[in-house]
Amino acid sequence: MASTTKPPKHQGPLAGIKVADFGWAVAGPLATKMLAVHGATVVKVETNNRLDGTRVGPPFRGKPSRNASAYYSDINPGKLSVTIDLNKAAGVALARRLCLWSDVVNENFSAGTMARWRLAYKDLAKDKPSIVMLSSSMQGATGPHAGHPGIGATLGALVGINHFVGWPDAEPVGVARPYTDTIAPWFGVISILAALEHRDRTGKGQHIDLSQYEATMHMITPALLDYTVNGRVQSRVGNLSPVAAPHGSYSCLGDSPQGDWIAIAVDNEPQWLGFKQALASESGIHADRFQTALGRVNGATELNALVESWTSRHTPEEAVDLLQAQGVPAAIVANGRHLHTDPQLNYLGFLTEVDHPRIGPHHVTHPSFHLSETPAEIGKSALIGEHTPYVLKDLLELSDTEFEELETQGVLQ
Amino acid sequence: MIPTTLSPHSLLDGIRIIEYGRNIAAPFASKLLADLGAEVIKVEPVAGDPSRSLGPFQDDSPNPETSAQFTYLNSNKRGVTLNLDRRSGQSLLRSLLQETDVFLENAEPGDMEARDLSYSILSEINPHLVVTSVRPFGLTGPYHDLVGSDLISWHASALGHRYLGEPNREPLRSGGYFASYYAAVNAAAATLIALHARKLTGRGQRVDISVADALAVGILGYGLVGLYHELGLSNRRPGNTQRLGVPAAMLPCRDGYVFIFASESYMWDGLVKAMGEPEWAQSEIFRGHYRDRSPYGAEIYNMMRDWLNHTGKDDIFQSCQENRVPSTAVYNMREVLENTHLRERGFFLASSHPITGKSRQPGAPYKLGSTLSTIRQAAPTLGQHNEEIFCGRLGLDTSALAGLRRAGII
Repeated sequence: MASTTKPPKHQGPLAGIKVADFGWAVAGPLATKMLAVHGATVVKVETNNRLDGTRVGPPFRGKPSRNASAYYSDINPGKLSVTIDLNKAAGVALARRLCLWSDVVNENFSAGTMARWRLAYKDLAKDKPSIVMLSSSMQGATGPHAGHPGIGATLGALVGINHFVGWPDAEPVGVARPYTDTIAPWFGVISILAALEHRDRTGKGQHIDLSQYEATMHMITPALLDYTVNGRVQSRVGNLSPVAAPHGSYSCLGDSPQGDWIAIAVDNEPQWLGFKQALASESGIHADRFQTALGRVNGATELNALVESWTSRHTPEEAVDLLQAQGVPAAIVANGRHLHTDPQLNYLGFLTEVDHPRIGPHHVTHPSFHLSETPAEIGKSALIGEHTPYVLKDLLELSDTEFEELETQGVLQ
Repeated sequence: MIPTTLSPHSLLDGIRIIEYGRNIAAPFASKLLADLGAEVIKVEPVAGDPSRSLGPFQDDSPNPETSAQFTYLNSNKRGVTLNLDRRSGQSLLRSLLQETDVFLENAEPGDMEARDLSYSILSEINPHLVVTSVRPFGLTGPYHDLVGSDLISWHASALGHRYLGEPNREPLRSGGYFASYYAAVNAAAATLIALHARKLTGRGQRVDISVADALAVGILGYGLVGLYHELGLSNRRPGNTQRLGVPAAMLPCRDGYVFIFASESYMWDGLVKAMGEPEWAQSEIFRGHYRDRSPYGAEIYNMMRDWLNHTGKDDIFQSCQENRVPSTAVYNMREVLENTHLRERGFFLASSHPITGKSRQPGAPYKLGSTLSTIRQAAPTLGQHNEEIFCGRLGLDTSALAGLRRAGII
């Protein structure tokens, strides 16, 4: 094993909080990323025998290898990495020791896994009643679908999101990205921090059972309420709004391979007046029926054609300037190039450059909010098992002999 | 009098929040914290939060006290009214903020500064105050004063362009007010981090949330930007397939659509069983990881048609799940809400409203211990707690309150 790697000190807002992170792939580890970049000590438990999904995921710097993934680096900056073989009894005992040292245990294994190792909440709480444990799963730890296999990609369909992404005249398009993986972790952060508040006041811990499915449901509440209140099943509307028009994305001048687009949302009367000013050259805009919101919504198809004949004569940037000057909500429909070059996003430091021994300098995404006094710090991600000696000897206070024995037994794999 | 039930869980007991929120972002953020036990006082303009006219309304009949979105977003809060365009209104808010932990707001860009309610003024009044501000493009930077909207934030994040839609049609968005709900969850999490920071620093701070950034970073950041930057890949809206392998697509079946996904070997083997072990699927060339099946995509999807055309989506869902294939039916809202799993999880909370009567609302997506959360208090009617707060807490007498009302301050 390499010499003890001591990580640099980070005095962030969550300094002093200790997390044992058994999370794997994306949904689990994203929650603890938010904690790590704000100063919590997050120990990620890995093993060389079964690599975390993101360690084997592209993009890689050069040849694919377990320490060369920029994907892993983006999800796990600033965390310590230890390797423990949980198939060995001594490995489980070590993991238990790590849990009892921690304030928070994070896991998103399939149902029953932690229990098999006697690392379930009830097992740990017996010895440490103040422990906070977050267990994330697709559909929750209880109920008839608990234990159903699933991945983020399909969850969108189950939740009902896929049903209403698309156009009314076509089949559902769905969402080509497992973005449900990126929703649940925020609820994970909220529930962990709230549980720690409670623990600080009362000394009592908590088991949090987080369902990715339910977390995602919270993103489509309007459709959910329309059903519970009116029994109405909302369906695909493209970019349309039931209460406002124009409302959508429109083609502009440009030569990008996938088109250049602007998004426009005229949400109220003052904005409509401003919109008419900007599009004064389009005589059709003054038609009587477009002068009320209802008239615009009902005539949306014709109105959209009119809008697009205007937007197609301008680049997105020009059109945005002209519309915003009149107080109309409009913005460029961004693509990947924009995210990299966009002055706003770059101003806010959306991407932070991080150096890494294997990957070299590369960009890691910053949390999407900024705290003025105690900002996040994006540390480098760990080589696999890089901090095993540091965590075991410095943090868990194992003796040199204990450490060597575990090494010889092949537990620190 | 609306009946109240004590919540068994008050993780955030003792934390006091004042919310000046419109529509979704700030109100949902403070709701998440109210549901965990924080005390939230919602300050509305005299005409009320615009979401009171947002609906859905029962029988599509608008009423500022019955908008389902308003009553959902603002349960477990007290409500007062204040005219922040008037100096006395601004002054009353500043008095309230002296004795609170968090100010959560999503005003229009520039409004708070114009009303002498900027962060620098508020932090002088109360150095312990955490001020969380949600704006379409954040508080600073080249776009910060642009007028926004949920659709705009969505598309500014590149989510539509990169991922949603067909290659030859316009970029799409997800339904509802996704961007705002997503930013709200960010805001609640960030607020809790700032509150924790206060234990170390003894001071409050400003928390800056940009709705467009929340989406861009949260959903796209790692996949898109890393790929683009490292490998120079260009964007292609993939339509309804994931293009990472086969099968990974939404496909029509007998009575609707299903999303079939089988990346690993064992998933493919399970899918073959779920399909009833048709001969074509037993071919060795199809076994293995879904990237290896990519060259045979058209063929495989074609051969699957027979099974799909003859099988209903619920049966497909079930047989896939039984064979450990992470595939699912595409459900509409009725199907989602009527399923027993969510009901048994206690996802829906019973709510009772003085005008619309009984209904149900989504509960928190996390279960804390074995206790289910409850709605302690229905959303406030407009100005419902004006007397309790302005007289009870700030010490105004009732005739002063009446004066404020006459003058249009509350």
